Amino acid sequence: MEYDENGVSIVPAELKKEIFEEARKDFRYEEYVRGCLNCGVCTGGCPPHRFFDFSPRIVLQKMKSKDPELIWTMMDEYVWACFQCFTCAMICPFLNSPGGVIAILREIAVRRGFESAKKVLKPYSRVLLKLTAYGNQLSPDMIQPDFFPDWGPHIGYASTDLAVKRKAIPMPTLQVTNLAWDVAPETMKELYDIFDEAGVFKIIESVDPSLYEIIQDIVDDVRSS
Amino acid sequence: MAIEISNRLGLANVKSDFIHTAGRKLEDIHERLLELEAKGEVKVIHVKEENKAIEAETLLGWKKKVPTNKLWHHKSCGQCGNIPGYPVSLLWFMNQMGLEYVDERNQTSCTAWNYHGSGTSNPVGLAAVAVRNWHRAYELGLFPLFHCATTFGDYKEMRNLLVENKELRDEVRRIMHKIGRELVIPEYIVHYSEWVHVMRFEIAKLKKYDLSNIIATVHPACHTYKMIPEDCIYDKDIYAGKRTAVSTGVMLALGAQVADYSTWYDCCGFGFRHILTEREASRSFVMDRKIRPMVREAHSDVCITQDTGCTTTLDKNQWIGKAMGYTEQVPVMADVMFAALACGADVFKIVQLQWHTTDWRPLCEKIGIDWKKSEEEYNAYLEELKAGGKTINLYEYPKS
Amino acid sequence: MSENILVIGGGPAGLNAAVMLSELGVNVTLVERDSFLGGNPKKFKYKFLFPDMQPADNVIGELIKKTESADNIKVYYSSEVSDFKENGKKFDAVIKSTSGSETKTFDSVIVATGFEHFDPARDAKYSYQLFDDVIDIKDLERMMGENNFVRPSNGKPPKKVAFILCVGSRDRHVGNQYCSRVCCTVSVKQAIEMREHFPDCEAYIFYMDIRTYGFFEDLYWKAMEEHDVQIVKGRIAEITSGPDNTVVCKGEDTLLRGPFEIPFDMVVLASGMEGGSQSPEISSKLGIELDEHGFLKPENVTLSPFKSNKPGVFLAGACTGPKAISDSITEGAAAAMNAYTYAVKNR
Repeated sequence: MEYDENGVSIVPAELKKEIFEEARKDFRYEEYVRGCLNCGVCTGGCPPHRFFDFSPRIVLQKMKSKDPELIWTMMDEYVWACFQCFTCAMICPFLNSPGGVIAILREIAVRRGFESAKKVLKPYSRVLLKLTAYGNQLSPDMIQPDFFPDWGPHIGYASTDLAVKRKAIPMPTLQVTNLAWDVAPETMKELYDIFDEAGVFKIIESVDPSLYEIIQDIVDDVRSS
Repeated sequence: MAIEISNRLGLANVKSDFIHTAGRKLEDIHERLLELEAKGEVKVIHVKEENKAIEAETLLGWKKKVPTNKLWHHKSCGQCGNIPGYPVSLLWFMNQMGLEYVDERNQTSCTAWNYHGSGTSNPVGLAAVAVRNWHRAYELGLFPLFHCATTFGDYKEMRNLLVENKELRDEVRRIMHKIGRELVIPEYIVHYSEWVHVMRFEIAKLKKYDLSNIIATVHPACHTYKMIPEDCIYDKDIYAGKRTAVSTGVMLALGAQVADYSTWYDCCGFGFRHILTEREASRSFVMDRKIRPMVREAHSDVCITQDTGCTTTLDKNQWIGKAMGYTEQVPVMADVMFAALACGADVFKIVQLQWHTTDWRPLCEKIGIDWKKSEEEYNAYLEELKAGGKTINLYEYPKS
Repeated sequence: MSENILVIGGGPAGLNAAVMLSELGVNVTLVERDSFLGGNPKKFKYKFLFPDMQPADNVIGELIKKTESADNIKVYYSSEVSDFKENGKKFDAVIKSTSGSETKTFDSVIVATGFEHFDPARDAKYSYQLFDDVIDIKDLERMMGENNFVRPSNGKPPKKVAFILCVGSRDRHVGNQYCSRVCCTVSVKQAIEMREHFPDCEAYIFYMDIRTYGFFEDLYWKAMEEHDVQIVKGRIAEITSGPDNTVVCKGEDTLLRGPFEIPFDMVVLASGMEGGSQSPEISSKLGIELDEHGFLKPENVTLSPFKSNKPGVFLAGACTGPKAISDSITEGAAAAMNAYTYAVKNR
């Protein structure tokens, strides 16, 4: 991507149009974007609106404008501010879903490997790895003071004697330290087939190629086991 | 009649004669699902007699059957590694009540983290993961029970998308055939908090402590009641039917007081992406928008949650608040964990509060629970295990 | 021999139709479901009417007096049309009341069955029934009418009151996409009234659009300029409990403040109008059409808004859609003229 003297990306109008078309073609779009009278209910109830420059009303209005320039302005930081709580979707009197629109736009940003998406998802890679390679997520051994210093000294509780503390949990599925629960390899293989078929691996490759490599190594190992 | 809402107590107990009706012109997905089944398009996991379902009313007055027996536990990927007392408390109750279930290794995360957090998924992928897990319950002849609110929200959405879109159905069916499975959809998508809700009077029968001096604040999870809201339980005797009844219902049944606070509808600040990649936003949100109002306005002894992410976010982020002069603290735990405590479950071995960050000991003392004794026993138990002792499990899964 | 015309409903439209027909020498049968005449304005004790703040009794009371004193109007109270059949160009109707059933033949019929106030309990987000201090415009109208303007929670006079517009109107959640037309003006009128009688009490109006159409706009200006009513553009998203037993209204001030959370002593919901349960009932009983909004459907909404799809059956007032009392009275007269013409032609 090219940048001007102020570091702002120079993007051809054609690409902006393409992105809008891509969003509009999503099969969920019609259901998420209906009429909007600027009543402000969505933004009035929006939790991140109180902390960020983010307004679901503006999201809806920009989509309704059908102006690729306006939609482009949301593709970088803006879409990532949303909490995905769906307060807006619940309370919109006209049944719009700005939160749903955000999901569509994020998926586009990731699929197209936008730099902003890569940057924003960098600290997310550990979770992405566990989720994609093991069908799991926050494992006990991830909860360490190094990673969560702001969670206070008690986080260290999981650092000592973790294996025995996990063993003391009276659910056999939970008596592991490297996974939240012990997922069977056969189950993981089914998940990989799904990710292959649905193009999920491909999405991860576009946004984080090196992570994709690591995931594929694990996938190969499990598949050959 | 006029109800004094001084101290915001009593609001949860307001009853009304109101009967919910569907004003909103929405298709009843349940009916359409049964139509598709009749056409041979999908298979349906039905609520059967043996599931001993209890009926509850949803926001639009629809009836939802909540199965209470013969369940397949769909664990939460954010819960098991971090808040182990959450699923354990639930299984503990099911054992107390002699109910049947399976908790096994053949389950994946719903992967909706990649939906709401990072955008690294797509509807086909999410729907296929959902159907794979549903089908596993189906082949065991069990009804799936979802522990996580995001799973609950995501699966409700995937069910709706599958019912409404033939292309998606065809694609997911194709993928299922590839992995030797079929396209199945449960008749109802049921969250564990709904199980707790319909079982609340049974739970209350097991109560060991007087809770009338305990003031609880409830944090409802966005993904339980804001996503596909027409599918969530509302009860005219709880908040006059104006707010979702789950979690509050069991607290009232246990005889605790539930206090309102001004930011009840706010999320927890988790934000999916933010808790990992913009942590200061989550932290500020927790303290400003949830913990401080709960303590200052409602004098809350405990914050009751119904989801994984909320429990983690609200519990873990109070410590750092002190650095910014936020001195308010309140222990955080899920409805089922508090209920287990109230019914005499062990603080360490079952409710596993030792993993929680915000101090929960004052709460135990207020209830009258001897946590020190429990801690001693637990430490001794750990020593036994270190020496090669065997875990006393609530459940043994069939080795496959 | 005089014509016989049936009027169903004794609100502003039905009363004026009955009075006009009576003056033309028609024998009028007026069927009223309540034990009194006057319709919703009487039932909910409306006090002052917009735009000129004249007492509601001057208008409704006048029509009731004329009706009751006319020799050729027979009023059936607490009654209903229990059976209805066409008889050539005429109609046979069974009128069921507390004193039994009576079958009568009519030359034409006017349906003036009115509307029902939207029940705000149906929309969970407004917490009506949950907070005692959340009331609606009809509750406030009654409080004013009974000179009992206090907070239901503690009996004390409120110091800060919010009016929320478009409750149950322009909202797909409750199935009503239409505008109820009068609630904006009623709310502005009530805010003025409140400020006049209780100058210590602040008034806020939260709106999506203020639709004080035509000359009703005078009230809007008056509220702003003479009565210092705060008018904020933004629909309310949430209502929760606030400090000192207040209720907090949350929303976005879409023009000025951004997000706001303001505590109020009392919240007044401008509930809209609905066709009510009587509209589908009368529609199936008389064989006339119902529209997609739940009101009765005129044959041609522009050319003949007072005609139903069935010749000889005419429509008047809020049974065909939300409207002001003055419009209902006008339609009562229009329907009377049409019903009379039909009756004379087919004598």
